[in-house]
Amino acid sequence: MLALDQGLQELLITVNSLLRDRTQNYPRRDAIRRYLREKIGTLQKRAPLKIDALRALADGRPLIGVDGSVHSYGTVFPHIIYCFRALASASTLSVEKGISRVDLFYPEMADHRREIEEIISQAAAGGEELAPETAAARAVRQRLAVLEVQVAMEAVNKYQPFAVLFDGGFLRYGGLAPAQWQEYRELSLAKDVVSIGIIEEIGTFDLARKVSAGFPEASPFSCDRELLFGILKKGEWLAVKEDLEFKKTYYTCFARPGYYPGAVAYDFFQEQTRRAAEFVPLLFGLTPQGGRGIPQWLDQVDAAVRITRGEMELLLASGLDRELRERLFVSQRERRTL
Amino acid sequence: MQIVGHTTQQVVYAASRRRPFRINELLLIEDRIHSNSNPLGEVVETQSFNRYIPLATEHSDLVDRQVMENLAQLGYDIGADTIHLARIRILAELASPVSVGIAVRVPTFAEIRDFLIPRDPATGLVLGVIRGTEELTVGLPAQLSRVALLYQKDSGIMPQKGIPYIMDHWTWPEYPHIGIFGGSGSGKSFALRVLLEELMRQQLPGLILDPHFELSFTEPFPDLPASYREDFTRRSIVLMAGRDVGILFEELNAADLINLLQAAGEVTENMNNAIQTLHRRRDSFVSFSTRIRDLTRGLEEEQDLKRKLREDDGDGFREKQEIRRILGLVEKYKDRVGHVSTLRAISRRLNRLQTERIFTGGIEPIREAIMNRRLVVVQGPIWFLQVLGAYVIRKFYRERRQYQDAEQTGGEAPKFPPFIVATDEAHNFAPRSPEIPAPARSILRTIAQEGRKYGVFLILATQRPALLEDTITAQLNTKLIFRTIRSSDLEVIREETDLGPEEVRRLPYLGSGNAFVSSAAVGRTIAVRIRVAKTVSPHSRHPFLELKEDFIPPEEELGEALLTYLPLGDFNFDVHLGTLQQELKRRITIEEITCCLEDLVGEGIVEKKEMVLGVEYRRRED
Repeated sequence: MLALDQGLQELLITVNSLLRDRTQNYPRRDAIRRYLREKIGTLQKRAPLKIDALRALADGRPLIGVDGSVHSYGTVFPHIIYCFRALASASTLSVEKGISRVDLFYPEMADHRREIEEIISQAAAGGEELAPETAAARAVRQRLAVLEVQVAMEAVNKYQPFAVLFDGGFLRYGGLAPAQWQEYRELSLAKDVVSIGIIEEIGTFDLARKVSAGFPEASPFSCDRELLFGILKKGEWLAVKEDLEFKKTYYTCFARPGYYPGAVAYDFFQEQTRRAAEFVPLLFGLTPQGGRGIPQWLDQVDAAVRITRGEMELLLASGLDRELRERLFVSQRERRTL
Repeated sequence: MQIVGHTTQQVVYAASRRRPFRINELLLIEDRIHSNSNPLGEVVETQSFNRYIPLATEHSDLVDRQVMENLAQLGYDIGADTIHLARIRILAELASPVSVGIAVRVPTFAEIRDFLIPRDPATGLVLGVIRGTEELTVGLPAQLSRVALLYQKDSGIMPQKGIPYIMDHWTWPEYPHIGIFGGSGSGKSFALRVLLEELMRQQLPGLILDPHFELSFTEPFPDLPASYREDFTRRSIVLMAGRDVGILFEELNAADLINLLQAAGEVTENMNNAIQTLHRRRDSFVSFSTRIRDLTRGLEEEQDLKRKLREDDGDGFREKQEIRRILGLVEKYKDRVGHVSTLRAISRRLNRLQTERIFTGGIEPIREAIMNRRLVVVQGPIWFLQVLGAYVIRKFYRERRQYQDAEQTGGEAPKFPPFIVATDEAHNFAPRSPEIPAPARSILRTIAQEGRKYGVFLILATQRPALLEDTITAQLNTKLIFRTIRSSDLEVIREETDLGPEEVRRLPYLGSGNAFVSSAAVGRTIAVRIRVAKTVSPHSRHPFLELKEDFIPPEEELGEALLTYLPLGDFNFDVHLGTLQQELKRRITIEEITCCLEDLVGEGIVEKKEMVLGVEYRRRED
């Protein structure tokens, strides 16, 4: 085996000392907790979920988990095929018996090419110059978001659930599938279905910015994820004050449901902000303490919806001529044997 | 249920979402390629898994029970996402692999009848039920139902669940001899009893060597339904070795005698020579042992005797004649029998056999029972049975052979029927190690090899198949294998049977009464649950229960008795002492009584009062 280059190690040490300097200068944990309590919201201990409370909350209706997955095949644009699958499963049935939809995107198909061009011209109108690859990537993200929202809507109509869990934050749906998301929002609010976006990787900065502003002498936190790591105690959640609008029209709170010291975030529609206090204990009760912080049901939907490499290969082998596959899609990388 | 994954001609996997597979159940594979008859398969391994509730690994923790309970409250049924898998061994020879994706189903009874039932229960040996056929119980015709009731330690007698396992003894001339292997508590002895009961039902004559004194068939199994009971008292007879049966010394030749003596101790080359020299045909025990005794004396006192003979002291003529006779023996055998100590050793062994009453009675009662097609159980200490068994089996086998040879060649020989030899602890009768003397080994080996020609069959039970003579093991065409733990025994089973690796893996964990039957006649292994026996061993009472019931400690016995004589005191001890002694059949002192009464006071059963005439004990009133 080739020995790791000495130079690379030295470079890494530089990175490490840079980060060390910064973190040494962070405010102390109790100071941050005090600040959070004073300025941001309340730190609430997990209340054990009582079976009666759970029953009252559900009132005989199921819980829905929504997730989607995309798998691409091919390496050189435009010869890349994207396969989508979205799944909304009700807790009263097997995960695999949920509502599922599939879709495919291939930049060479006429419709899809038009879609890419449209994205490019829209961006150009905003003064942005987009490469077709980038535009295609956005189209793919949009399609997946649309598909997920569609199955969620179908599930709400079909199963009359009391709550819908999404894998990921609401900003993504609002940004990528605005029309469908608006429709979903109206439908679910009308039916009194509580929607919750479960965010495993917190990617926002607002909280970090706010807290850093409170400690001008200390180094600023780079993001919310970094700020919240190790701050919440196990089974604790940060009920952000309602008037602090981090995300427009959504309400976000932060929680640490298990042993893992990092935090997860829960998105609610703003109209349902008040329901957070009822639903966070439910989410805690459905989340394995040793896991990643994702409710079990959503984890199962995630596992069921995933398109595996094996499945994809089987699909392509049965649907695409071998010659075409070899000519356009199979990468040399796949032929490697070492 | 359908076939999934990779398939071969022998092994396939089936998956089902709704129905867990049962181990050993038979399934019909609806294969279109092999269409003329759908192949049958047997489930040899089962698994259920849920891909959403993975095993705990370094990447995923166990899902908390609380989380699953909360999910259940929201209507989730874990079973809905469980997948059941079965590894199925195909019970036919196919030319090409089974197609993937085809359906698998539980067969109907009619579809597998010929496959599982070789004979009618009336003409075969009903040993139990075939495991994995429980679902087919409902469709069973009347003559196959209620023929093999089951027994479970905690629930007692249970109905027959499944298709009866019927052993076809009519195949024995082709596939002779049965081995029953299993550790203690595995159900091996129970199975031997069931098998013997079936032999009696078919009136097959047999000689059973019973070193455990447990194989009598007179006591019915408790709580059996009347329709299931069967009386074997007239079909079996129990004989006690050394009391009812023994060996007639007069019928022994020198070789027989050496065989016998070997059982009582080592027989050296010198002793062997001496016996060959000294034994005469039709010798009785007395004539033979006297000859040895006299010769011993003669060798020891030769000079003395010669001197006595020379001295003319007026002693009687008879004594001189006696001395002459002894000296004659010395003259005749002196150079051929070796040292006096050799003779002494022979005497000691001979006396031991005599004290054990080996030479008491004959084997006529055994012969009579065999001729009458009964099962004759000979009970005795194991070494005695080795000696007697070797002798009887050899003799009967010879007679049977002579009769059959005569039948074929047109000669004359007394009639002798085919018969079965059965024993537990077979590794003692025919041990593998040639170092261990075993008088019966050679005859058992002969029968194992050629007995089928003459209709003589072996049923050998042992908990140590690894210690059983290997030529014999190899000739056991049907083996009933119960729970086995020792690796050396498992090794023998692996080599000597067609048990697959899955079955061998299960052997250490088999429940009592469950067995695999590996049979050359059937050509595959069948998992069987042995039926309840119709009779029980007379001494099946638990030894500790026996202690409690039959061996009451003396003070407890006295206490019980004293309670019936209350009130007692200094004033009437002597009045009751006599009757009390009579009742308990032993001497009792006043001290013992006082002591016992004080104990009863301590236990709060009796109270003690000081009266004018002394102490008085009376029953405490509450």
